[in-house]
Amino acid sequence: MADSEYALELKGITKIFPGIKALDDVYFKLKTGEIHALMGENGAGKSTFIKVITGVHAPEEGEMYLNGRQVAFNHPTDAQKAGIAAIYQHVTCYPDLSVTENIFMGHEKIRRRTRCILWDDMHKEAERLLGELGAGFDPRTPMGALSVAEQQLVEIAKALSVDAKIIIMDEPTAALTSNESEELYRIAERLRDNGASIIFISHRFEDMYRLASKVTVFRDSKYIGTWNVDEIANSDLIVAMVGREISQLFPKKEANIGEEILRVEGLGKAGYFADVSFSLRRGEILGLTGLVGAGRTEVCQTLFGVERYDKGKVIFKGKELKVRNPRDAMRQGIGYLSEDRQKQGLVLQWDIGRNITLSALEKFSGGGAIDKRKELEVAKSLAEKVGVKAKSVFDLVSSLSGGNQQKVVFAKLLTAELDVLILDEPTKGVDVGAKSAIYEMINELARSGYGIVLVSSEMPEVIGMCDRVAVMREGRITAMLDREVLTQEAILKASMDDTAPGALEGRRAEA
Amino acid sequence: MKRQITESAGVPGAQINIGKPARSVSEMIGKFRELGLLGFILLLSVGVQLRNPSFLTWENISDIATNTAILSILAVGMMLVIITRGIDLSIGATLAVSGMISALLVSHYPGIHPLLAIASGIGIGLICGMVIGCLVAWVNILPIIATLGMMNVYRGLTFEASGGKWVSAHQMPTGFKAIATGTLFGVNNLILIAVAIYIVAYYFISHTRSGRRIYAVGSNPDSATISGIRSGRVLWLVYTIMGGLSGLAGVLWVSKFASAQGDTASGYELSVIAACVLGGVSIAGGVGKISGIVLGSVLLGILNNALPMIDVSPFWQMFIQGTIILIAVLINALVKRGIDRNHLMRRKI
Repeated sequence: MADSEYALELKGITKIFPGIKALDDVYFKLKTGEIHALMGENGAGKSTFIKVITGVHAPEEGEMYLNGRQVAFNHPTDAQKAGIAAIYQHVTCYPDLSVTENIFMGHEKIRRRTRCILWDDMHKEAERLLGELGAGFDPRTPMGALSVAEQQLVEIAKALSVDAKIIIMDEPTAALTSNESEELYRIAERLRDNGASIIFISHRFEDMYRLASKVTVFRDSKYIGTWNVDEIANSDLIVAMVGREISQLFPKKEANIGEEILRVEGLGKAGYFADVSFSLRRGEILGLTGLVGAGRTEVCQTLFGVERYDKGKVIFKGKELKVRNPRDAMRQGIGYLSEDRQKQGLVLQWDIGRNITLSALEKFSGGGAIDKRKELEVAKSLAEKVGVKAKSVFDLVSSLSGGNQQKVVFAKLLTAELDVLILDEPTKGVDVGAKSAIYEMINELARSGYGIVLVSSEMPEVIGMCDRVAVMREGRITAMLDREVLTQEAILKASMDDTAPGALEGRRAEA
Repeated sequence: MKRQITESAGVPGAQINIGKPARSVSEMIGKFRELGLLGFILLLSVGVQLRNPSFLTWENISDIATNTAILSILAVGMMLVIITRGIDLSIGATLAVSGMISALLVSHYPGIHPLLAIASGIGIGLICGMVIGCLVAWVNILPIIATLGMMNVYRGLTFEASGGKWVSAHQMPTGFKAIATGTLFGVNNLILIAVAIYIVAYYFISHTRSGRRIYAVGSNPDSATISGIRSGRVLWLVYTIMGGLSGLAGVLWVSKFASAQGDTASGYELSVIAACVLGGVSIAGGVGKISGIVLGSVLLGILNNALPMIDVSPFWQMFIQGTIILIAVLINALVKRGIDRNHLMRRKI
């Protein structure tokens, strides 16, 4: 066996998905017996990187070495056999099957001759592994009945059951309380002391300082650098992760903010978010940010009537708002631009005009038939208003670029008479030039009196555009930041920190 | 600040306490579903018995069991398909084509051993299933579309093979007809075959890797990919098994009714799916037990047998069957919603 200082080494890995480079010439070195943190913003390519290591995706370019020997994984089982196990960000379990099965799926213990599964042995082994991790539940329980923290333990037990030498933990603490995280740290340290090497992906600086000896940062699918944890300051790390300076992209002009139009008080939905309160005034752009999965989209969909809340209330234009469904919400004056415009927002095979007027057809219909001329006029004027770049409104939406498609979605929203616009990641997957046009448009809309909720993970966008920003973390608002105190550091701190000083700041901002 | 902390510390605990009792109720219903079904069957039987004392006679019970055997054999295969989140609408046609071809075989070569006739039926069914398996697993056609198309193909083949004519009782040798009518130790062969299939299937799905992988693919296809399970093979396997069982059922059917026709078992797939649903197999995949589908088949069998015995008009019979299926699905959905909700309640924010 060719010995090497490094248990795992990746050189120049590039992975291309149709249309995007998910990984661009990425390097990574993992020493034997170390815990190595991997950090980066949402969409920096960490999850894809993991899937390359575990053989789920084959990279287009690059080399991978295990203990100094070059390997190539074509299938997840290859990586498993090589002693690599991953604990994924979203627990990838079989909710209908027992804990034991979840641990052993893919490598069940079988009697050699009859190939019959040895259930008793497996239950016993599962019990031993869970006991080692300090878990007190029966391995015969169905996985779906466990809490997220317990499921996390099962995932770790799975890694132990294959006797993995390299263990990848993809944001294992994201859904855990601080006590549970502490338990996880101890487990990770014990694994390391037993000779395993661990790649630890996390958004929390706390995790990194507590556990890791090295940290590697990815940004925008690229490798940024590797540092010793005790040699890099918090602020430098943030710069490495965020990178970009906030450019002239954001033409923020003085907003003329009017009366309060929407107030949310103590909104909660079991399992998704709790105690969410904020207010929105006419002409104001309120940012709603936080890590993916913090509950931002759920809050917005609740306001729009897609989902229901079970606690708290919403005051809209001075009256308590009850929306039964999105249609109802639109009629009352709330519009929502969904995150995934291709799935929910547009009919790609239709032309621009028909897409724009789709949700407001009753306005153009008389006696059951649609007044084509009126429809066309409205579509044309709206398309001009948002500045869609196309030869005519008869062009198919599928022929437009991402930014122009987004503009069509905006135009479609504007056919209704709205007071509040909720925009969920309006510039996701849009190139830089189109972005600034969209920003211009959002500002224009705010100036003409709409109250706007802007959901975004992109920090420059949030800072450049918003008058106030609410930061969410794990289903709660942890900070309400006014424009004057709006910095990347403040946002990162509020969206990652375990302790939430934001509760106080929030009150100050609202007072 | 202080208040904040005590609040957030108190809330999750309280949620768990609220969650727990309700959870155990839904879990109990989930766990004892089969018992509930059994209870319902017993109640129904007693009710019918009070109206017509000839219902619970040995003869009638054996009659019900014989009539249910073929349904339950098919339900075993259908359960596997549904567990992988699929559906197979072609089984009535597969049954017909394999029944017809083996009937033609024995009518041309009357000397053939009955076991060989059975083997030919199974073989044809397997081939039919393999074709569907390929379409679903590797060509990635939705199961409902693939099986709908192949249903017509196989039905057409049946008519083509027979030239539109029936193969009737006098053309079949006694040995062939005895497959379904014969007995061993006083028990009808069909019942014995069905029981043997339950046992093999039970062993397969709970004690072999391939069997467990069927559940894994249905329970969470993404995880299955990450665990390195080749989903394509698993899908191919379940449709092939389904085909094989349909082929077997075809021979049994033709032998039992002593007649093979072009429209044999037309629409029968729906009864099979109904038996699975009644037996607690979840259309969303990942869930299903042999004991459940056996009870589901028995319940359908009893309804078919009992309703005429207590003079319910044929029109109302269908109405009642439909209502019972809907109630079963409704209970299933409510239990699932309750369990999901309680899991969410346990999640801390």
